[in-house]
Amino acid sequence: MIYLLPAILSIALGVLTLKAILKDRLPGALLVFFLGSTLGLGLSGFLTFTSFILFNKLLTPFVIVCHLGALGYLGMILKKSGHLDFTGLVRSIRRQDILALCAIAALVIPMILFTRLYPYGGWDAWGFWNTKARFLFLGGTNWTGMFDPALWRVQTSYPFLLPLINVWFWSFGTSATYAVPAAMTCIIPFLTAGLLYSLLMEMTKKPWAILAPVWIFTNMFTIQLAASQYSDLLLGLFLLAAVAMFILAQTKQDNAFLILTGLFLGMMAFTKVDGTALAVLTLTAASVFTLCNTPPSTVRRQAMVFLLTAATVAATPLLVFLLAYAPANKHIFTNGLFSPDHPTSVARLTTVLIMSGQEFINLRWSGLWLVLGLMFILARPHQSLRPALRLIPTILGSYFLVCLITYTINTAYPVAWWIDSSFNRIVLALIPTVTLWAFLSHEK
Amino acid sequence: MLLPLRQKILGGLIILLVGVQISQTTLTFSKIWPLKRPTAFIFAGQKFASLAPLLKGQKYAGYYTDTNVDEGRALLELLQAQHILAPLILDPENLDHRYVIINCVNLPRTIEKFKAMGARPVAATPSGILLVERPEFGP
Repeated sequence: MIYLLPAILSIALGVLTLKAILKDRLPGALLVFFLGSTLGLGLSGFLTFTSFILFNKLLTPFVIVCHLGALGYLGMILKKSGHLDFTGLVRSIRRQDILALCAIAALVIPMILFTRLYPYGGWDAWGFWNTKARFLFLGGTNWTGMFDPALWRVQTSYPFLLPLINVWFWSFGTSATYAVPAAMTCIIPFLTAGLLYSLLMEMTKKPWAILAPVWIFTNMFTIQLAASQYSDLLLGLFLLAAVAMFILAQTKQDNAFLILTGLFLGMMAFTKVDGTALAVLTLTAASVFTLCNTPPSTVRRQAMVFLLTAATVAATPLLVFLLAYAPANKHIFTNGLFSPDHPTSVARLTTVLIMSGQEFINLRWSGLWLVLGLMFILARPHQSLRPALRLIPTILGSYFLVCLITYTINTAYPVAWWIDSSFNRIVLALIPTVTLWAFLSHEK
Repeated sequence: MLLPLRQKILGGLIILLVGVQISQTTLTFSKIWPLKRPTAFIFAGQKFASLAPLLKGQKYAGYYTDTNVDEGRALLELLQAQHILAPLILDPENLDHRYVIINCVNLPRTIEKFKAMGARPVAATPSGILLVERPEFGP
Protein backbone atom coordinates (compact mmCIF):
# COMPACT_ATOMS: atom_id res chain seq x y z
CA MET A 1 0.00 0.00 0.00
CA ILE A 2 2.96 2.30 0.68
CA TYR A 3 3.64 2.27 -3.04
CA LEU A 4 0.39 4.15 -3.65
CA LEU A 5 2.12 7.27 -2.36
CA PRO A 6 4.67 7.59 -5.19
CA ALA A 7 1.89 6.75 -7.65
CA ILE A 8 -0.26 9.58 -6.30
CA LEU A 9 2.66 12.00 -6.36
CA SER A 10 3.55 11.06 -9.94
CA ILE A 11 -0.04 11.33 -11.18
CA ALA A 12 -0.51 14.67 -9.42
CA LEU A 13 2.74 15.98 -10.89
CA GLY A 14 1.72 14.93 -14.38
CA VAL A 15 -1.80 16.29 -14.16
CA LEU A 16 -0.71 19.64 -12.72
CA THR A 17 1.98 19.94 -15.41
CA LEU A 18 -0.70 19.26 -18.02
CA LYS A 19 -2.92 21.91 -16.48
CA ALA A 20 -0.06 24.41 -16.36
CA ILE A 21 0.63 23.85 -20.07
CA LEU A 22 -2.94 23.60 -21.39
CA LYS A 23 -4.71 25.74 -18.74
CA ASP A 24 -8.43 25.78 -19.56
CA ARG A 25 -7.96 23.78 -22.76
CA LEU A 26 -7.68 20.43 -20.99
CA PRO A 27 -9.23 17.53 -22.91
CA GLY A 28 -11.65 15.05 -21.33
CA ALA A 29 -11.18 13.65 -17.84
CA LEU A 30 -10.05 10.20 -18.92
CA LEU A 31 -7.46 11.58 -21.32
CA VAL A 32 -6.21 13.96 -18.65
CA PHE A 33 -5.80 11.03 -16.25
CA PHE A 34 -3.90 8.77 -18.66
CA LEU A 35 -1.85 11.53 -20.23
CA GLY A 36 -1.08 13.03 -16.83
CA SER A 37 -0.07 9.65 -15.41
CA THR A 38 2.25 8.98 -18.36
CA LEU A 39 3.79 12.44 -18.04
CA GLY A 40 4.08 12.03 -14.29
CA LEU A 41 5.91 8.71 -14.52
CA GLY A 42 8.50 10.20 -16.85
CA LEU A 43 8.91 13.33 -14.74
CA SER A 44 9.34 11.23 -11.59
CA GLY A 45 12.06 9.24 -13.33
CA PHE A 46 13.80 12.48 -14.30
CA LEU A 47 13.55 13.91 -10.78
CA THR A 48 15.00 10.67 -9.37
CA PHE A 49 17.94 10.94 -11.78
CA THR A 50 18.55 14.49 -10.51
CA SER A 51 19.54 13.01 -7.15
CA PHE A 52 22.26 10.92 -8.80
CA ILE A 53 23.56 13.86 -10.83
CA LEU A 54 23.70 16.29 -7.91
CA PHE A 55 24.66 14.00 -5.02
CA ASN A 56 26.14 10.97 -6.81
CA LYS A 57 23.66 8.71 -5.00
CA LEU A 58 19.98 8.19 -4.30
CA LEU A 59 18.77 10.65 -1.67
CA THR A 60 15.14 9.74 -1.21
CA PRO A 61 14.21 12.78 0.92
CA PHE A 62 15.63 15.04 -1.80
CA VAL A 63 13.61 13.30 -4.52
CA ILE A 64 10.42 13.54 -2.45
CA VAL A 65 11.10 17.22 -1.69
CA CYS A 66 11.62 17.80 -5.43
CA HIS A 67 8.23 16.27 -6.13
CA LEU A 68 6.50 18.24 -3.39
CA GLY A 69 8.31 21.40 -4.43
CA ALA A 70 7.26 20.94 -8.04
CA LEU A 71 3.68 20.26 -6.97
CA GLY A 72 3.70 23.32 -4.74
CA TYR A 73 5.15 25.53 -7.45
CA LEU A 74 2.71 24.32 -10.07
CA GLY A 75 -0.18 24.69 -7.65
CA MET A 76 0.89 28.24 -6.85
CA ILE A 77 1.17 29.41 -10.44
CA LEU A 78 -2.12 27.74 -11.35
CA LYS A 79 -3.87 29.36 -8.39
CA LYS A 80 -2.45 32.76 -9.30
CA SER A 81 -3.67 32.39 -12.87
CA GLY A 82 -7.03 31.06 -11.72
CA HIS A 83 -6.63 27.64 -13.34
CA LEU A 84 -6.41 25.43 -10.26
CA ASP A 85 -10.07 24.42 -10.40
CA PHE A 86 -10.66 20.80 -11.49
CA THR A 87 -14.35 20.55 -10.58
CA GLY A 88 -15.43 21.04 -14.19
CA LEU A 89 -13.18 18.20 -15.24
CA VAL A 90 -14.50 15.90 -12.52
CA ARG A 91 -18.10 16.78 -13.38
CA SER A 92 -17.42 15.92 -17.02
CA ILE A 93 -16.84 12.25 -16.14
CA ARG A 94 -19.61 10.24 -17.74
CA ARG A 95 -20.91 6.72 -17.14
CA GLN A 96 -19.33 5.78 -20.48
CA ASP A 97 -15.94 6.83 -19.10
CA ILE A 98 -16.38 4.64 -16.00
CA LEU A 99 -17.38 1.67 -18.12
CA ALA A 100 -14.41 2.20 -20.42
CA LEU A 101 -12.11 2.44 -17.41
CA CYS A 102 -13.48 -0.88 -16.12
CA ALA A 103 -12.90 -2.50 -19.52
CA ILE A 104 -9.35 -1.17 -19.67
CA ALA A 105 -8.69 -2.34 -16.12
CA ALA A 106 -9.95 -5.79 -17.09
CA LEU A 107 -7.30 -5.91 -19.82
CA VAL A 108 -4.67 -5.85 -17.09
CA ILE A 109 -5.89 -9.11 -15.53
CA PRO A 110 -3.93 -11.38 -17.90
CA MET A 111 -0.84 -9.19 -17.28
CA ILE A 112 -1.23 -9.74 -13.55
CA LEU A 113 -1.62 -13.49 -14.10
CA PHE A 114 1.50 -13.51 -16.27
CA THR A 115 3.53 -11.75 -13.58
CA ARG A 116 2.34 -14.39 -11.08
CA LEU A 117 3.98 -16.98 -13.33
CA TYR A 118 7.06 -14.91 -14.14
CA PRO A 119 7.56 -12.54 -11.20
CA TYR A 120 11.12 -11.71 -12.21
CA GLY A 121 10.18 -10.97 -15.81
CA GLY A 122 11.96 -12.02 -18.96
CA TRP A 123 15.65 -12.23 -19.76
CA ASP A 124 16.16 -8.51 -20.41
CA ALA A 125 14.34 -7.69 -17.17
CA TRP A 126 16.57 -9.55 -14.71
CA GLY A 127 19.51 -9.33 -17.11
CA PHE A 128 19.52 -5.57 -17.71
CA TRP A 129 16.73 -3.33 -16.50
CA ASN A 130 16.16 -4.62 -12.98
CA THR A 131 19.89 -5.15 -12.44
CA LYS A 132 20.46 -1.48 -13.28
CA ALA A 133 17.62 -0.55 -10.91
CA ARG A 134 19.34 -2.52 -8.13
CA PHE A 135 22.62 -0.70 -8.79
CA LEU A 136 20.77 2.61 -8.57
CA PHE A 137 18.84 1.70 -5.43
CA LEU A 138 21.47 -0.30 -3.52
CA GLY A 139 24.74 1.08 -4.88
CA GLY A 140 25.06 4.30 -2.89
CA THR A 141 27.89 6.25 -4.48
CA ASN A 142 28.87 3.08 -6.38
CA TRP A 143 25.75 3.28 -8.56
CA THR A 144 28.04 4.11 -11.47
CA GLY A 145 29.32 0.53 -11.21
CA MET A 146 26.53 -0.32 -13.64
CA PHE A 147 28.62 1.40 -16.33
CA ASP A 148 31.72 -0.70 -15.54
CA PRO A 149 33.26 -2.32 -18.64
CA ALA A 150 33.11 -5.70 -16.89
CA LEU A 151 29.31 -5.43 -17.12
CA TRP A 152 29.15 -5.08 -20.90
CA ARG A 153 26.65 -7.93 -20.99
CA VAL A 154 24.23 -5.69 -19.04
CA GLN A 155 24.10 -3.14 -21.89
CA THR A 156 26.05 -0.46 -20.06
CA SER A 157 25.57 2.11 -22.80
CA TYR A 158 21.76 2.05 -22.67
CA PRO A 159 19.69 4.86 -21.12
CA PHE A 160 17.63 3.78 -18.14
CA LEU A 161 14.39 5.65 -17.49
CA LEU A 162 12.42 2.53 -16.51
CA PRO A 163 14.93 1.53 -13.81
CA LEU A 164 14.76 5.10 -12.46
CA ILE A 165 10.97 4.91 -12.31
CA ASN A 166 11.22 1.61 -10.42
CA VAL A 167 13.75 3.15 -8.04
CA TRP A 168 11.33 6.03 -7.38
CA PHE A 169 8.73 3.52 -6.22
CA TRP A 170 11.27 1.42 -4.26
CA SER A 171 12.27 4.60 -2.39
CA PHE A 172 9.08 4.39 -0.36
CA GLY A 173 9.75 0.85 0.83
CA THR A 174 12.73 -0.76 2.46
CA SER A 175 13.93 -3.19 -0.20
CA ALA A 176 14.36 -3.67 -3.91
CA THR A 177 11.33 -5.93 -4.00
CA TYR A 178 10.45 -7.78 -7.20
CA ALA A 179 6.86 -6.61 -6.68
CA VAL A 180 7.52 -3.06 -7.93
CA PRO A 181 8.84 -3.94 -11.40
CA ALA A 182 6.14 -6.62 -11.58
CA ALA A 183 3.45 -4.04 -10.80
CA MET A 184 5.00 -1.50 -13.20
CA THR A 185 4.80 -4.06 -16.01
CA CYS A 186 1.03 -4.11 -15.45
CA ILE A 187 0.69 -0.35 -15.06
CA ILE A 188 2.39 0.49 -18.35
CA PRO A 189 -0.02 -1.58 -20.50
CA PHE A 190 -2.91 -0.11 -18.48
CA LEU A 191 -1.73 3.41 -19.29
CA THR A 192 -1.12 2.50 -22.94
CA ALA A 193 -4.57 0.96 -23.36
CA GLY A 194 -6.23 3.85 -21.56
CA LEU A 195 -4.30 6.49 -23.47
CA LEU A 196 -5.11 4.88 -26.81
CA TYR A 197 -8.82 4.67 -25.98
CA SER A 198 -9.10 8.19 -24.59
CA LEU A 199 -7.16 9.67 -27.52
CA LEU A 200 -9.49 7.98 -30.00
CA MET A 201 -12.52 9.15 -28.02
CA GLU A 202 -11.15 12.71 -27.94
CA MET A 203 -10.49 12.70 -31.67
CA THR A 204 -13.44 10.68 -32.98
CA LYS A 205 -16.11 10.78 -30.23
CA LYS A 206 -16.99 7.21 -31.25
CA PRO A 207 -17.54 4.53 -28.57
CA TRP A 208 -15.98 1.84 -30.78
CA ALA A 209 -12.67 3.41 -29.79
CA ILE A 210 -12.63 0.77 -27.02
CA LEU A 211 -12.02 -1.86 -29.71
CA ALA A 212 -8.47 -0.57 -30.29
CA PRO A 213 -6.94 -1.34 -26.88
CA VAL A 214 -9.06 -4.49 -26.42
CA TRP A 215 -7.83 -5.79 -29.76
CA ILE A 216 -4.19 -5.15 -28.92
CA PHE A 217 -4.10 -6.36 -25.32
CA THR A 218 -6.07 -9.59 -25.65
CA ASN A 219 -3.33 -11.06 -27.85
CA MET A 220 -1.26 -13.60 -25.89
CA PHE A 221 2.05 -12.65 -27.47
CA THR A 222 1.45 -8.97 -26.69
CA ILE A 223 0.55 -9.91 -23.12
CA GLN A 224 3.75 -11.93 -22.84
CA LEU A 225 5.98 -9.14 -24.16
CA ALA A 226 4.18 -6.39 -22.27
CA ALA A 227 4.26 -8.24 -18.94
CA SER A 228 7.92 -9.30 -19.15
CA GLN A 229 9.16 -6.10 -17.44
CA TYR A 230 10.87 -4.76 -20.56
CA SER A 231 11.19 -1.12 -21.62
CA ASP A 232 9.68 -1.60 -25.05
CA LEU A 233 6.06 -0.86 -24.22
CA LEU A 234 7.11 2.16 -22.14
CA LEU A 235 8.83 3.41 -25.29
CA GLY A 236 5.61 2.71 -27.19
CA LEU A 237 3.59 4.62 -24.60
CA PHE A 238 5.78 7.72 -24.91
CA LEU A 239 5.72 7.46 -28.72
CA LEU A 240 1.93 7.26 -28.73
CA ALA A 241 1.70 10.27 -26.42
CA ALA A 242 4.20 12.33 -28.44
CA VAL A 243 2.58 11.59 -31.78
CA ALA A 244 -0.93 12.19 -30.44
CA MET A 245 0.06 15.54 -28.93
CA PHE A 246 1.52 16.54 -32.30
CA ILE A 247 -1.72 15.56 -34.06
CA LEU A 248 -3.74 17.60 -31.55
CA ALA A 249 -1.36 20.55 -32.04
CA GLN A 250 -2.03 20.40 -35.78
CA THR A 251 -5.79 19.83 -35.65
CA LYS A 252 -6.52 22.32 -32.88
CA GLN A 253 -3.82 24.74 -34.10
CA ASP A 254 -2.71 24.97 -30.48
CA ASN A 255 1.05 25.23 -30.01
CA ALA A 256 0.81 24.31 -26.30
CA PHE A 257 0.45 20.66 -27.36
CA LEU A 258 3.88 20.89 -28.96
CA ILE A 259 5.37 21.40 -25.49
CA LEU A 260 3.92 18.03 -24.54
CA THR A 261 5.24 16.53 -27.79
CA GLY A 262 8.74 17.68 -26.89
CA LEU A 263 8.49 16.42 -23.30
CA PHE A 264 7.36 12.94 -24.36
CA LEU A 265 10.08 12.76 -27.01
CA GLY A 266 12.71 13.53 -24.39
CA MET A 267 11.33 10.79 -22.14
CA MET A 268 11.25 8.36 -25.04
CA ALA A 269 14.88 9.14 -25.84
CA PHE A 270 15.93 8.24 -22.29
CA THR A 271 14.09 4.90 -22.30
CA LYS A 272 16.18 2.82 -24.73
CA VAL A 273 18.69 3.32 -27.52
CA ASP A 274 15.85 2.54 -29.94
CA GLY A 275 13.91 5.33 -28.24
CA THR A 276 16.76 7.76 -28.80
CA ALA A 277 16.79 6.99 -32.52
CA LEU A 278 13.00 7.21 -32.72
CA ALA A 279 12.96 10.50 -30.80
CA VAL A 280 15.50 12.08 -33.15
CA LEU A 281 13.54 10.92 -36.20
CA THR A 282 10.21 12.09 -34.74
CA LEU A 283 11.56 15.46 -33.68
CA THR A 284 13.07 16.02 -37.12
CA ALA A 285 9.87 15.07 -38.89
CA ALA A 286 7.70 17.04 -36.46
CA SER A 287 9.87 20.12 -36.99
CA VAL A 288 9.58 19.84 -40.77
CA PHE A 289 5.81 19.39 -40.65
CA THR A 290 5.46 22.25 -38.19
CA LEU A 291 7.41 24.52 -40.49
CA CYS A 292 5.33 23.44 -43.49
CA ASN A 293 1.87 23.35 -41.92
CA THR A 294 1.81 26.31 -39.57
CA PRO A 295 0.93 29.70 -40.93
CA PRO A 296 1.54 32.57 -40.20
CA SER A 297 5.23 32.94 -39.54
CA THR A 298 4.81 34.33 -36.00
CA VAL A 299 2.77 31.30 -34.94
CA ARG A 300 5.23 29.04 -36.75
CA ARG A 301 8.11 30.60 -34.86
CA GLN A 302 6.33 30.09 -31.55
CA ALA A 303 5.54 26.50 -32.50
CA MET A 304 9.18 25.72 -33.22
CA VAL A 305 10.33 27.40 -30.02
CA PHE A 306 7.82 25.39 -27.95
CA LEU A 307 8.68 22.09 -29.62
CA LEU A 308 12.45 22.43 -29.62
CA THR A 309 12.71 23.98 -26.15
CA ALA A 310 10.56 21.28 -24.55
CA ALA A 311 12.46 18.54 -26.37
CA THR A 312 15.81 19.99 -25.35
CA VAL A 313 14.78 20.35 -21.70
CA ALA A 314 13.40 16.81 -21.63
CA ALA A 315 16.49 15.48 -23.38
CA THR A 316 18.79 16.93 -20.69
CA PRO A 317 18.95 13.68 -18.68
CA LEU A 318 19.92 11.81 -21.82
CA LEU A 319 22.57 14.39 -22.71
CA VAL A 320 24.00 14.27 -19.18
CA PHE A 321 24.09 10.48 -19.36
CA LEU A 322 25.79 10.48 -22.77
CA LEU A 323 28.35 13.12 -21.84
CA ALA A 324 29.14 12.11 -18.26
CA TYR A 325 28.39 8.43 -17.79
CA ALA A 326 27.78 6.37 -20.93
CA PRO A 327 30.70 4.08 -21.62
CA ALA A 328 31.68 2.83 -25.03
CA ASN A 329 30.68 -0.78 -25.45
CA LYS A 330 32.69 -2.34 -28.24
CA HIS A 331 31.06 -5.70 -27.62
CA ILE A 332 27.69 -4.59 -28.99
CA PHE A 333 28.76 -2.88 -32.21
CA THR A 334 30.94 -4.10 -35.04
CA ASN A 335 30.90 -2.06 -38.22
CA GLY A 336 30.44 -4.72 -40.85
CA LEU A 337 31.34 -2.29 -43.63
CA PHE A 338 34.94 -2.12 -42.39
CA SER A 339 35.42 -5.26 -40.34
CA PRO A 340 37.61 -7.91 -41.99
CA ASP A 341 36.55 -10.55 -39.42
CA HIS A 342 32.81 -9.89 -39.43
CA PRO A 343 31.95 -8.26 -42.74
CA THR A 344 28.40 -7.55 -43.74
CA SER A 345 27.05 -8.95 -46.99
CA VAL A 346 24.15 -8.96 -49.38
CA ALA A 347 23.11 -12.26 -47.84
CA ARG A 348 22.85 -10.57 -44.44
CA LEU A 349 20.74 -7.78 -45.93
CA THR A 350 18.49 -10.35 -47.61
CA THR A 351 18.06 -12.22 -44.33
CA VAL A 352 17.20 -8.97 -42.57
CA LEU A 353 14.56 -8.09 -45.16
CA ILE A 354 12.98 -11.53 -45.21
CA MET A 355 12.95 -12.11 -41.45
CA SER A 356 11.65 -8.65 -40.63
CA GLY A 357 8.92 -9.03 -43.24
CA GLN A 358 7.99 -12.43 -41.81
CA GLU A 359 7.48 -10.90 -38.37
CA PHE A 360 4.42 -9.01 -39.61
CA ILE A 361 2.69 -12.14 -40.87
CA ASN A 362 3.70 -14.30 -37.93
CA LEU A 363 0.64 -16.03 -36.46
CA ARG A 364 1.61 -15.04 -32.92
CA TRP A 365 0.22 -11.57 -33.68
CA SER A 366 -3.14 -13.20 -34.60
CA GLY A 367 -3.33 -11.32 -37.86
CA LEU A 368 -3.03 -7.89 -36.19
CA TRP A 369 -0.73 -6.47 -38.83
CA LEU A 370 -2.69 -7.98 -41.69
CA VAL A 371 -5.93 -6.39 -40.46
CA LEU A 372 -4.15 -3.09 -39.82
CA GLY A 373 -2.93 -3.30 -43.42
CA LEU A 374 -6.51 -3.99 -44.55
CA MET A 375 -7.70 -0.95 -42.60
CA PHE A 376 -5.26 1.23 -44.51
CA ILE A 377 -6.23 -0.33 -47.84
CA LEU A 378 -9.94 0.29 -47.16
CA ALA A 379 -9.34 3.83 -45.90
CA ARG A 380 -9.20 6.53 -48.50
CA PRO A 381 -5.58 7.67 -49.09
CA HIS A 382 -6.47 11.29 -48.54
CA GLN A 383 -7.80 10.30 -45.10
CA SER A 384 -4.82 8.26 -43.90
CA LEU A 385 -2.32 10.69 -45.38
CA ARG A 386 -4.01 13.94 -44.44
CA PRO A 387 -1.61 16.58 -43.11
CA ALA A 388 -2.29 16.01 -39.40
CA LEU A 389 -1.43 12.30 -39.72
CA ARG A 390 1.54 12.44 -42.09
CA LEU A 391 3.99 12.42 -39.20
CA ILE A 392 3.19 8.77 -38.44
CA PRO A 393 4.07 7.12 -41.77
CA THR A 394 7.10 9.41 -42.01
CA ILE A 395 8.60 8.29 -38.72
CA LEU A 396 7.60 4.65 -39.27
CA GLY A 397 9.27 4.56 -42.68
CA SER A 398 12.45 6.27 -41.49
CA TYR A 399 12.60 4.17 -38.32
CA PHE A 400 12.30 0.91 -40.25
CA LEU A 401 15.05 2.09 -42.54
CA VAL A 402 17.29 2.81 -39.55
CA CYS A 403 16.49 -0.63 -38.09
CA LEU A 404 17.25 -2.39 -41.38
CA ILE A 405 20.53 -0.51 -41.74
CA THR A 406 21.49 -1.28 -38.13
CA TYR A 407 20.72 -4.99 -38.44
CA THR A 408 22.71 -5.14 -41.69
CA ILE A 409 25.75 -3.10 -40.74
CA ASN A 410 26.19 -4.12 -37.09
CA THR A 411 27.71 -7.57 -37.37
CA ALA A 412 28.41 -8.00 -33.64
CA TYR A 413 25.55 -10.52 -33.45
CA PRO A 414 24.42 -13.43 -35.65
CA VAL A 415 21.67 -11.85 -37.70
CA ALA A 416 19.02 -14.56 -37.43
CA TRP A 417 19.26 -14.77 -33.64
CA TRP A 418 19.34 -10.99 -33.28
CA ILE A 419 16.24 -10.35 -35.39
CA ASP A 420 14.40 -13.27 -33.86
CA SER A 421 15.03 -12.05 -30.31
CA SER A 422 14.64 -8.29 -30.77
CA PHE A 423 12.54 -7.29 -33.79
CA ASN A 424 9.27 -8.44 -32.24
CA ARG A 425 9.83 -5.96 -29.41
CA ILE A 426 10.58 -3.15 -31.84
CA VAL A 427 7.30 -3.98 -33.50
CA LEU A 428 5.46 -4.11 -30.15
CA ALA A 429 6.49 -0.54 -29.37
CA LEU A 430 4.94 0.66 -32.63
CA ILE A 431 1.59 -1.12 -32.34
CA PRO A 432 -0.29 1.52 -30.30
CA THR A 433 0.75 4.34 -32.65
CA VAL A 434 0.01 2.38 -35.82
CA THR A 435 -3.39 1.37 -34.41
CA LEU A 436 -4.17 5.01 -33.62
CA TRP A 437 -3.26 5.90 -37.20
CA ALA A 438 -5.38 3.07 -38.62
CA PHE A 439 -8.46 4.06 -36.64
CA LEU A 440 -8.04 7.75 -37.42
CA SER A 441 -7.72 6.89 -41.11
CA HIS A 442 -11.40 6.00 -41.07
CA GLU A 443 -12.43 9.31 -39.58
CA LYS A 444 -13.05 12.50 -41.45
CA MET B 1 -25.56 5.85 -36.06
CA LEU B 2 -25.09 4.22 -39.47
CA LEU B 3 -21.57 3.06 -40.24
CA PRO B 4 -20.23 2.71 -43.77
CA LEU B 5 -20.05 -0.89 -44.96
CA ARG B 6 -16.24 -1.03 -44.78
CA GLN B 7 -16.27 0.08 -41.14
CA LYS B 8 -18.89 -2.58 -40.34
CA ILE B 9 -16.70 -5.22 -41.99
CA LEU B 10 -13.58 -4.06 -40.18
CA GLY B 11 -15.41 -3.76 -36.86
CA GLY B 12 -16.81 -7.26 -37.24
CA LEU B 13 -13.40 -8.62 -38.15
CA ILE B 14 -11.77 -6.99 -35.14
CA ILE B 15 -14.49 -8.28 -32.80
CA LEU B 16 -14.01 -11.76 -34.26
CA LEU B 17 -10.24 -11.53 -33.72
CA VAL B 18 -10.78 -10.33 -30.16
CA GLY B 19 -12.95 -13.37 -29.52
CA VAL B 20 -10.33 -15.69 -30.98
CA GLN B 21 -7.58 -14.01 -28.95
CA ILE B 22 -9.52 -14.21 -25.70
CA SER B 23 -10.08 -17.93 -26.31
CA GLN B 24 -6.41 -18.50 -27.15
CA THR B 25 -5.23 -16.53 -24.14
CA THR B 26 -7.59 -18.38 -21.80
CA LEU B 27 -6.47 -21.72 -23.22
CA THR B 28 -2.79 -20.81 -22.92
CA PHE B 29 -3.12 -19.72 -19.33
CA SER B 30 -5.10 -22.83 -18.39
CA LYS B 31 -2.28 -24.95 -19.85
CA ILE B 32 0.73 -23.15 -18.42
CA TRP B 33 -0.69 -22.12 -15.02
CA PRO B 34 -0.48 -25.54 -13.31
CA LEU B 35 2.92 -26.19 -14.86
CA LYS B 36 4.58 -22.86 -14.18
CA ARG B 37 2.97 -21.63 -10.96
CA PRO B 38 4.80 -24.03 -8.61
CA THR B 39 8.17 -22.96 -10.08
CA ALA B 40 7.42 -19.25 -10.52
CA PHE B 41 9.83 -18.09 -7.86
CA ILE B 42 12.65 -20.46 -8.74
CA PHE B 43 15.44 -18.16 -9.83
CA ALA B 44 18.90 -19.49 -10.59
CA GLY B 45 20.42 -16.37 -9.07
CA GLN B 46 19.05 -17.29 -5.64
CA LYS B 47 21.82 -19.85 -5.14
CA PHE B 48 24.27 -16.94 -4.95
CA ALA B 49 22.22 -14.92 -2.46
CA SER B 50 23.89 -16.35 0.64
CA LEU B 51 27.25 -14.97 -0.57
CA ALA B 52 26.00 -11.36 -0.45
CA PRO B 53 26.71 -10.71 3.27
CA LEU B 54 30.23 -12.14 2.85
CA LEU B 55 30.95 -9.75 -0.02
CA LYS B 56 29.54 -6.62 1.62
CA GLY B 57 31.83 -3.66 1.06
CA GLN B 58 33.48 -5.21 -1.97
CA LYS B 59 33.14 -3.47 -5.34
CA TYR B 60 34.30 -6.39 -7.49
CA ALA B 61 34.42 -10.15 -7.33
CA GLY B 62 35.85 -12.47 -9.92
CA TYR B 63 33.49 -15.01 -11.43
CA TYR B 64 34.82 -18.31 -12.69
CA THR B 65 33.00 -21.01 -14.61
CA ASP B 66 34.44 -23.90 -16.61
CA THR B 67 31.75 -23.63 -19.30
CA ASN B 68 31.37 -20.93 -21.94
CA VAL B 69 30.05 -17.98 -19.95
CA ASP B 70 28.52 -16.37 -23.03
CA GLU B 71 26.20 -19.21 -23.93
CA GLY B 72 23.05 -20.82 -22.62
CA ARG B 73 22.75 -21.78 -18.97
CA ALA B 74 26.16 -20.36 -18.05
CA LEU B 75 25.20 -16.89 -19.30
CA LEU B 76 21.83 -17.12 -17.56
CA GLU B 77 23.47 -17.97 -14.24
CA LEU B 78 26.06 -15.21 -14.59
CA LEU B 79 23.41 -12.55 -15.32
CA GLN B 80 21.12 -13.79 -12.55
CA ALA B 81 24.02 -13.92 -10.11
CA GLN B 82 24.86 -10.36 -11.13
CA HIS B 83 21.24 -9.36 -10.55
CA ILE B 84 21.11 -10.88 -7.07
CA LEU B 85 24.53 -9.61 -5.96
CA ALA B 86 24.23 -6.07 -7.39
CA PRO B 87 25.78 -3.57 -6.73
CA LEU B 88 28.72 -5.98 -6.56
CA ILE B 89 30.33 -6.21 -10.00
CA LEU B 90 31.01 -9.76 -11.15
CA ASP B 91 34.04 -9.94 -13.43
CA PRO B 92 34.25 -13.14 -15.48
CA GLU B 93 37.13 -11.79 -17.57
CA ASN B 94 39.49 -11.06 -14.72
CA LEU B 95 40.09 -13.26 -11.67
CA ASP B 96 42.60 -10.87 -10.10
CA HIS B 97 40.20 -9.78 -7.38
CA ARG B 98 40.26 -10.45 -3.66
CA TYR B 99 37.22 -12.70 -3.88
CA VAL B 100 36.28 -15.08 -6.68
CA ILE B 101 32.95 -16.87 -7.03
CA ILE B 102 33.29 -20.31 -8.54
CA ASN B 103 30.36 -21.90 -10.35
CA CYS B 104 31.69 -25.00 -12.06
CA VAL B 105 30.72 -28.34 -13.46
CA ASN B 106 34.05 -30.00 -12.70
CA LEU B 107 34.60 -28.81 -9.14
CA PRO B 108 37.59 -31.00 -8.11
CA ARG B 109 39.71 -29.83 -11.05
CA THR B 110 38.74 -26.22 -10.39
CA ILE B 111 39.59 -26.51 -6.69
CA GLU B 112 43.05 -27.78 -7.60
CA LYS B 113 43.49 -24.90 -10.05
CA PHE B 114 42.66 -22.29 -7.41
CA LYS B 115 44.75 -24.04 -4.74
CA ALA B 116 47.70 -23.72 -7.09
CA MET B 117 46.91 -20.00 -7.36
CA GLY B 118 47.13 -19.67 -3.57
CA ALA B 119 43.41 -19.11 -3.04
CA ARG B 120 41.79 -20.18 0.20
CA PRO B 121 38.15 -21.25 0.54
CA VAL B 122 35.77 -18.89 2.33
CA ALA B 123 32.33 -20.41 1.87
CA ALA B 124 30.36 -23.01 -0.05
CA THR B 125 26.62 -22.98 -0.72
CA PRO B 126 24.44 -26.09 -0.68
CA SER B 127 24.07 -25.78 -4.47
CA GLY B 128 27.82 -26.08 -5.04
CA ILE B 129 28.83 -22.43 -5.43
CA LEU B 130 32.23 -21.70 -3.91
CA LEU B 131 33.65 -18.43 -2.68
CA VAL B 132 37.43 -18.25 -2.46
CA GLU B 133 39.76 -15.51 -1.34
CA ARG B 134 42.98 -14.52 -3.06
CA PRO B 135 44.83 -12.69 -0.28
CA GLU B 136 47.44 -11.26 -2.68
CA PHE B 137 44.68 -9.00 -4.07
CA GLY B 138 43.38 -8.00 -0.65
CA PRO B 139 43.67 -4.58 0.96
